[in-house]
Amino acid sequence: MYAIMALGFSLIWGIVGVFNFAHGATYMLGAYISFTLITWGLNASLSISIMIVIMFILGVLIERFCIRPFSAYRGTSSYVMNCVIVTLALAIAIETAVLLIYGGEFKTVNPFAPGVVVLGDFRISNQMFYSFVIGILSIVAIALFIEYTRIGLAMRALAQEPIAASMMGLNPNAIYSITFGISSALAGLAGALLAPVYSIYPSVGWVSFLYAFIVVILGGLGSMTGVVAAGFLVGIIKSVGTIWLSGQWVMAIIFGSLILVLLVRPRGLFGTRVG
Amino acid sequence: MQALHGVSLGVEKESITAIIGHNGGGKSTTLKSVAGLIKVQGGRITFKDREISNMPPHEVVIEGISLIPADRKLFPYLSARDNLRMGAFSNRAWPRRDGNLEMVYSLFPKLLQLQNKESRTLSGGEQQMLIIGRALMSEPEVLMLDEPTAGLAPLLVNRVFEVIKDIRRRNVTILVAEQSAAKILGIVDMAYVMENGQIVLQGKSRELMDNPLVVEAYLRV
Repeated sequence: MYAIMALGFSLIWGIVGVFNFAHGATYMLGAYISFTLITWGLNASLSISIMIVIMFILGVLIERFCIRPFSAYRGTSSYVMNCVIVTLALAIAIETAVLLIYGGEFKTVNPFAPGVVVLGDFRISNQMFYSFVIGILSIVAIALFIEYTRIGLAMRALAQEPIAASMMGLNPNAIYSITFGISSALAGLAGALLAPVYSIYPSVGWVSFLYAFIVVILGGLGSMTGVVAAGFLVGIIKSVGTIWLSGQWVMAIIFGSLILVLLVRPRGLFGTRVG
Repeated sequence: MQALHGVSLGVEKESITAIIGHNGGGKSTTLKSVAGLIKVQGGRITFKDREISNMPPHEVVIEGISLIPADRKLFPYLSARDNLRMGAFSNRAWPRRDGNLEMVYSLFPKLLQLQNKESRTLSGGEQQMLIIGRALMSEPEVLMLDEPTAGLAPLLVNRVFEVIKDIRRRNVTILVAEQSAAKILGIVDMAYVMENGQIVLQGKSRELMDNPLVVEAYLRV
């Protein structure tokens, strides 16, 4: 799950060159939107599919109105700062709006797939299982998309050499829009899938955002496989860790490993490009 | 800072034109302005009777003008093949990318062998071939080359010129900026000499090669 969040975040960072502070907010929105749709009576798969489309459009809008106006400054450090501030503001705005609309109490969301899967000694809730499977499928789908489609090729090229890319007839803004759209959709998906597990509240996005951030740094800015691998690693550490240790220790271990890895390999485990 | 002063040059269809002159004279700036990488303050750039001044770079490519910049700018972590495919990205060129890919491989057989290698692992000469191939993938009507032979061994320099002549035979108009007049004047039809952001001399290459001023300043090694 963290891998999905981290992937979306990493895509924006790698291709557009921006830290999207609203990433957690999109996670949260995804959860709320699908929750709302389900409450209105739509079945789970349909709600999630619709939510993904909505989130994609939202991502495109975010790019258009919050990021593009600054494109004149692209390449300078003030550009990154501006986008951080803008996305942060956006995140707060979205969170406040949701707070007003839905109220701040924790809402529990019913699992889409009640019941348990029994694998030998392990019992996993169906919900977790489906989330996991969908998660893996999404990651594979995105990976294939980036590797084999024309737009995926454009995204890779744009991440590596923005100037050369535009000299191939590529309109960078169009690709940035798509990147934001994909990233938002991914965050929304993660939000919707995890909603039944952790219950939702307006600030739920920040925890995931933090994890996404950690995973991206751990895996290495700019490396897709690294991000996915790190995502799984963190997920495993967290799951296994909480069985034996308290939550605080788990966080400490995760952060500790992050510091350790950064000391040894400043680029992260798989980082190939300098962040 | 104004780099070009009153530069006025025209390129004829299906000809090879060169801009020569010492480094810093404005050759690159001229090419980059046409390509849309540098904003034009005063003056106009027209292509086939259409004004293209200050068009964004990707639209210039769609119009049919491709630039091979001096600093090459390959996509380092993409394979050679992906670099080439990226060259065909525009809506105009994409449908014919497979055919054009074959054309490029026939022009540069070495690239076929190297097609799956990451482009940053290629040698200087191979990268140069890749760069030219990639530009050709966009099916340009006008190909601009900025210092194509810089840093290349003499054997490769000749190879590049062979390729340029070959490209011209395919009815592509060519504009080359080259510091070394000696090498380029033999191939081109027309040449402009630029110094300090201005055109100081222009004419058919034959005439320039006979011009004592040119010989003195540029052709004496």
